[in-house]
Amino acid sequence: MNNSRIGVYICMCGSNIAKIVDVEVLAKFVAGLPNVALVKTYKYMCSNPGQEMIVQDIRENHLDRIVVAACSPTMHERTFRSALQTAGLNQYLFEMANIREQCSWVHEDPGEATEKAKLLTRAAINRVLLHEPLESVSVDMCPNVLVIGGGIAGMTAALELADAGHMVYLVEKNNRLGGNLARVDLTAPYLYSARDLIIERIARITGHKNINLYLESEVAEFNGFVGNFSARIRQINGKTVAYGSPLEVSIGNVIVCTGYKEFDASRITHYGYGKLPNVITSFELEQMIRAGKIETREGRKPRYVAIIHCVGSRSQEFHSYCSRVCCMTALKYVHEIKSAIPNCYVSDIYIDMHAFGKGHEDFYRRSSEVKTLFLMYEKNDRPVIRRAGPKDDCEMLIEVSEKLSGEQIEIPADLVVLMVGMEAREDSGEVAHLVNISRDKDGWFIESHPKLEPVATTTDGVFIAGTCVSPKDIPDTVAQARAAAARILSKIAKGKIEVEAVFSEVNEKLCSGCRFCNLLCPFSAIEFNELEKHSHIISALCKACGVCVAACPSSAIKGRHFSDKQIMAQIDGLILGREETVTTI
Amino acid sequence: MVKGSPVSQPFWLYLKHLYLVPWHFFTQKRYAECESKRKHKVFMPWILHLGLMLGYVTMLVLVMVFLEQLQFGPEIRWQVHVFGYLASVGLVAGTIYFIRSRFMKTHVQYKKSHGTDWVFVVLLCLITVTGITQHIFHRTGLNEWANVTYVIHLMFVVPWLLRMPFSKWSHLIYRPLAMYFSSVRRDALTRGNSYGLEPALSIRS
Repeated sequence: MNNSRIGVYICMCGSNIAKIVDVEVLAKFVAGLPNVALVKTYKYMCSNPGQEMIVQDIRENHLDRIVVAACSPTMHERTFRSALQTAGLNQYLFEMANIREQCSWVHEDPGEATEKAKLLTRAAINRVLLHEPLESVSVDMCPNVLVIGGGIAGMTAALELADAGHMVYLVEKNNRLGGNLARVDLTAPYLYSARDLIIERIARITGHKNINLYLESEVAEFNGFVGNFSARIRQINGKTVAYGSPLEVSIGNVIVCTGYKEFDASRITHYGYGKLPNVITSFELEQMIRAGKIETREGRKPRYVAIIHCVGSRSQEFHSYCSRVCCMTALKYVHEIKSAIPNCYVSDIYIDMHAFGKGHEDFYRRSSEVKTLFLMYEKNDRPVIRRAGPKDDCEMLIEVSEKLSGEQIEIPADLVVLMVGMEAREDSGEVAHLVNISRDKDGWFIESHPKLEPVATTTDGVFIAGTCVSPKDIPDTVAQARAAAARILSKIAKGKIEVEAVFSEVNEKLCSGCRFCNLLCPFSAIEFNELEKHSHIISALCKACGVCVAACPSSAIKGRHFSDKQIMAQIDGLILGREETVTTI
Repeated sequence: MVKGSPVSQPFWLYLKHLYLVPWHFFTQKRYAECESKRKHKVFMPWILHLGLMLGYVTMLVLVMVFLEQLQFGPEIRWQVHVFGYLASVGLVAGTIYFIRSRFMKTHVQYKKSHGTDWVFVVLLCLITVTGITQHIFHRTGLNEWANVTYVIHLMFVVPWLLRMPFSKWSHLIYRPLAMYFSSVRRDALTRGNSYGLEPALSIRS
């Protein structure tokens, strides 16, 4: 018999768990299980008082293992592990039973849900009895940082890190810095000059002693693990890298800020982009504005300008997401067109007006005061553009099924501006593969956690910022770039990095050198020792997914913290009593 | 002995619970117990799933074992085909029901249904419909039409045979096996009690 003293804490999660699972019945059941020294229920176990209660109980009641029956470990495992560390207990002598996502949220019958919660909690207790104290591994942190992409996000992050005294390698594919922002004239809603926003940054970067800038370059190879990456930078078109800096660089962290590309408007054939000469995209209008004249292809000042929103965005056919910046950019064009051609009639044809940010609603109001004709159309009922007849005093006519009035409205247009949305770059797949991060169905890079880890990825030491993650405006992009830089600075400040103690290990005596695991590892964490003919797992890269453990035909790979005994004990906890659970209801 | 476990599972326990494999295979009892499936008053999803599975297995046996004897046309009485007709009813009803569920997104799992989830039911539906059509032509003496329909039928059967053993077919067997092994394990645990846990009945306390 194991002499462990287990403390079990059952969270109500407000009413998230307690409204379905009878936590008092669960506590009574758990109290009767062997080795359980203490059972407590609490409204929010993850709150500071909840954690303090656990710390105090560990000290006062000499608990040596803890089980928390609450939400998903993805959400709060770290929180509770920290509490164990505070109390002086090894953080791995802990297990979570997920009675929220896997129980109260997915079941409707309180009786059945309570029975299932009993099994889940008992399985966790069964498992924690076999947990062993594990020590985290420390590795040195190289203070150099690689920034991929020289747009506003990349420049901001690079300066932030370089100003803190760290060497930054900034790699940009184009022959200039500034990214998509360098193609813009003014920014919404305060109409600041985009040029002013980036010019000062470019000047500082080119003269900064801590920044090595590589233009027309790309990262060709990327290897290693957090704190100890190496990258090879090569110039596109086979040219040599300028500035005399090294081609092979050692870095500790990476920020990927590769940005977006605009939607190709010719994919929506019935807008006639590419066929009707005066149907242009928002970036082509920007070019005109920057050149100082808004005119049709024939060189005339337009009397009627129509702006169509959501081109390529918010459509099941192309991209279902909202590109977030188009509404305010369209309103910005209203102001710019009106100030360039005061007698011009501007129509703004939109699905919904998304004015979500600071100052945006006021900007929307100001735009409506300059006599803009706003027309709302249904998502699946796009406006139709056709050439005007010889008797009309305009180039084109646009038919809109106006949603608010319910009428079919025809408006004249000499120039039609398509507000093209953002989409992931074509090379986002290559970049993701290079630095070992994931992409979603639309090609955007995936964060480690969309709410709690918005700039981290599942690969430690690789951060993402800006519009390569999802469409966003300049303030959000800059905020993400600074957040990524801050995350890296805090890691560098420690000098060493602690790597999770949960990883897989190869028993070299049993390894046959078949290399199945090398091919299967999704994190490229397994290397092969050619001399000794066996595989080796880089613990800092391993995420303990268990793929190699399951695949190894020689059973030479073991998962720390996921041993066969621990997993079987957990399964046994679930199997016992399953039939009773069913028949008693 | 299960790897990593201190509890041994005597061989006779495997024999004792062996009946559970055909039992769960042919009744799909656990499927009927699912929370969402129980909501239907007449257990319609379970009935149709069972009908589809039994129809499929029957048709598979008829094709694999009796194809030569049954491929005559009007020369043999239609009553000989009674099992095939019953199997067809199960297949048609089942595939239409599950295609409809995917269209209507009646359950949570269908709301996020992936394209590959459609391949199974759509292919099976097309195989069934072309198979029935071929049979009608064959029995009515329209042999040329029957041959054309048979070619189309095979066009759906071949990808089906290439794909299905690695996807949907596997759950024909792994659910009964999972129920069987868990039952053996539970029996062994309640006898062994190696974790110092109370046996199953303690859950009622």
